[in-house]
Amino acid sequence: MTLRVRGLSYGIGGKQIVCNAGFEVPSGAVTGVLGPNGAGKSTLLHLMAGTLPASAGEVRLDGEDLFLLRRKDRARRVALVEQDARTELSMTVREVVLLGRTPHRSMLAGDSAGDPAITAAALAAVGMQDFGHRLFNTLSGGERQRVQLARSLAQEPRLLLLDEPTNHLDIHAQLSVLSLVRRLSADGVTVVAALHDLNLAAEFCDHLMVMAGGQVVAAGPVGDVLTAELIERVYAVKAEVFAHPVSGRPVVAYSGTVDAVV
Amino acid sequence: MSQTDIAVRRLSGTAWGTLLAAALVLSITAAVTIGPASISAFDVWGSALKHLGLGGIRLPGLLDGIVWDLRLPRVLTAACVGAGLAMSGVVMQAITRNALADPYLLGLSSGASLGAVAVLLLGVAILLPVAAFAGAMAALVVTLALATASGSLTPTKTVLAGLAISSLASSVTSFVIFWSAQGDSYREVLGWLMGSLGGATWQSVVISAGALLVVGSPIVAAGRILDGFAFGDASAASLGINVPAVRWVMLAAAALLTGAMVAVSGSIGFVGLILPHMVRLLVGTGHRALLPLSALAGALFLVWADTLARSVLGPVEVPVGIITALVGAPVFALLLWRKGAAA
Ligand SMILES: Nc1ncnc2c1ncn2[C@@H]1O[C@H](COP(=O)(O)OP(=O)(O)OP(=O)(O)O)[C@@H](O)[C@H]1O
Ligand SMILES: [Mg+2]
Repeated sequence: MTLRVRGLSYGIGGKQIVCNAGFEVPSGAVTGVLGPNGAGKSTLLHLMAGTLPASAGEVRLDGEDLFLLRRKDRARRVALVEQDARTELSMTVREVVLLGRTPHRSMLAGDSAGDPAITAAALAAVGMQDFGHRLFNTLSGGERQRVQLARSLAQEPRLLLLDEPTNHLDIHAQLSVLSLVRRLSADGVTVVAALHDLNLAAEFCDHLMVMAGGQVVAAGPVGDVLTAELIERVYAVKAEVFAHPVSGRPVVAYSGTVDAVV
Repeated sequence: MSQTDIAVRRLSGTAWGTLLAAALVLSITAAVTIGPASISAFDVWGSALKHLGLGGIRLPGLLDGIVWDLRLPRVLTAACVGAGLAMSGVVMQAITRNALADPYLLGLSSGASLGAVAVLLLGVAILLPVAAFAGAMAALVVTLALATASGSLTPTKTVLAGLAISSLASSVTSFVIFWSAQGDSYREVLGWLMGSLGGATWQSVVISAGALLVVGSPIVAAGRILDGFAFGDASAASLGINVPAVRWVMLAAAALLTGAMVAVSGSIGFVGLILPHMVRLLVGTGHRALLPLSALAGALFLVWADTLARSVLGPVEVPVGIITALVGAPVFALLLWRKGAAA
C-alpha cells in the first residue's frame, strides 16, 4: 500500500519547472514537501492532483494510476487545497464546503441526502462549525484556510494534497490543523503537504521530500533527511539540528544565512 | 444588511421561485391590459383561452386582434428575451469569473447589429432575425478563434477577444450607417440598435421560447457544474470538472441563447448584467437556484421595461434598451457601491 510518484515532469515556455520528480511513501503517511520559494512544490502538488498536465510521469495510489482515471473518479480519491484560494463571489462558508461534494454526485442531481451531515462534520473537524452562514470573503486568512481544508475533507479523499496549509494560521491553529492532518492519516488518508516551517515538518511528518530547482534532492524518513548539511545546501542557511528531548524528533535552530556567516 | 451575515437570504430558492413566477403571470396579464385600447384582465385570459381552444370568450374582432396579435406576443417575447438574457449573463459571469461579463461579451450584439444594419440599410435580402443571428454567430466564431489563437481558452483572453471583435463590428456598423442611412431609416436602425420589441410577433415568441426550452433548460439542469468554477480553473479541475470542455459548451450555449434573443429584439443592455447580481443577493451563488430565478427575474423586469417603453411617451415608442439602461445604470452603481462597502 503505497503512494508512488515516478518521473513526474512539467515545463512551460521551454523552462522545466518540475523535472523527473519521484518518491515513494507508504499510504496513510504524512509527507512534507520542503524547498525554497520557487522550488516547484506547488507545481508538483498540482501535477499530482491532475490540475496541471504532466508532460511525463505517473502517480500511483495503492497501485492505481491516477492519471488514467476519469476526472470524477480521480476527484473522489484526491483533494487539493491550494496555496491561496480566492473567489469574487459572495459565497457562504457552507456553500464553499459543499463544493467538496461535487465529485460525489451526478452533475445533474441536487444535493445528496448525506451532504449536509458531511458538510457539517467537515466544518466541525476544523473548528469552524459556527461559521457556516458567514460569507467566505469576510473571513480572516486563517479562517479561510480552515474552510478550504474543510472543503477538501468533504471531498472524502484518500490522498490529500495541501499547499502550505499552515500559511496565515496562528501557532495554535497551525498545531491544530497539523494534528487534524495526523488524525486523518491515522484513518488511512495519505497526506502530502508543502511546508515552510522545518520544525513543524519535523514534528508532524513521517517522511520528507525536499525540492530545489524543480528536482527532488532528498527524500526519506524525517530523521534521515533533515540534516544541517541539507539545510545549508538547499536553503543557504546555517543551522544546528538537535533531537527533541521528549519526542526524539529533529529540532532545527538557525544561526544565520550562509552569505552572512562568512 | 450587516456584511457578515446573510439576513437577506431569508427565503428559500423555492419560495422565491414561486413568488417570482406568480408575479410574472400577474405582470404578463397586467402588461397586456396596458395601452391605448382599454382591455381588462378578464378579456386577456378570455381571448387567450379561446385561441388555445380551452373555452374562454370571444372578444370583438378589433379587441381580440389587439390582445392576441399585438400585445400578447410582444409581452411574451419580452418575458422570454428577459429570461434568456439573464440566464446567459449568469453563465458568462460564471465561466469568465468576471462580475462585469454580460450576454454580449463575445461580440454577439455588435455582430448581430452589423447583420441587422446590413439588412436594414444595404438591402441584403434575408430576414432581419436571420441576419442578426448570423451576425452574432459570426462574431462568436471570430472571437473564439481569436481567443484561442495562442493557446487554450482562458477567461481573460475570452473577454479581451470579445472586446476587440465588438469594437471592430461596431465601427463597421457605424460606418455603414454613416454612409448609407437617411431620413426614416435612421430611426429604424437606431431603434434596432437600442433594442426594441416593437416588431414582436408570434414568430418571435416561438424563436425566443424555443431557444429558452432547447438551450436554456439544459443549462439550468447542468447549473451545478458552474458552482465548481468559484475558486478558479484549477480548483474546478480538482473537483473533477472537465474545465476546457465545460467552458466551450457553456460559452456556446449562452451565445446561442443570446443570439436567438438578439435576433428577435436587437441588443437590450443591462438585463443580463443587473438581474443576476440582484438575484445573488436573494439566494446566494448556487447556480441551481440562481439560473432559474434569474430567468424569472429577467422576464419580469423586461416585461415591465417594455410596457414602460411603449406607454411612457404616448404614441411614440422609446427603444426598450433606453429604459433598461436608465433603470439599470443606477441600480448597477448602487450594487457596486454596496459591494465596495462590503469589501
Ligand atoms: N505558468 C508559469 N509560467 C512560468 N513560470 C512558472 C509558471 N508556474 C510556475 N512557474 C515557475 O516555476 C517555479 C516553481 O513554482 P512553484 O509555484 O511550484 O514554486 P513553490 O515551490 O510552490 O514556491 P513557493 O514556496 O513560493 O510557493 C517558480 O520559479 C515559478 O516562477
Ligand atoms: Mg507554492
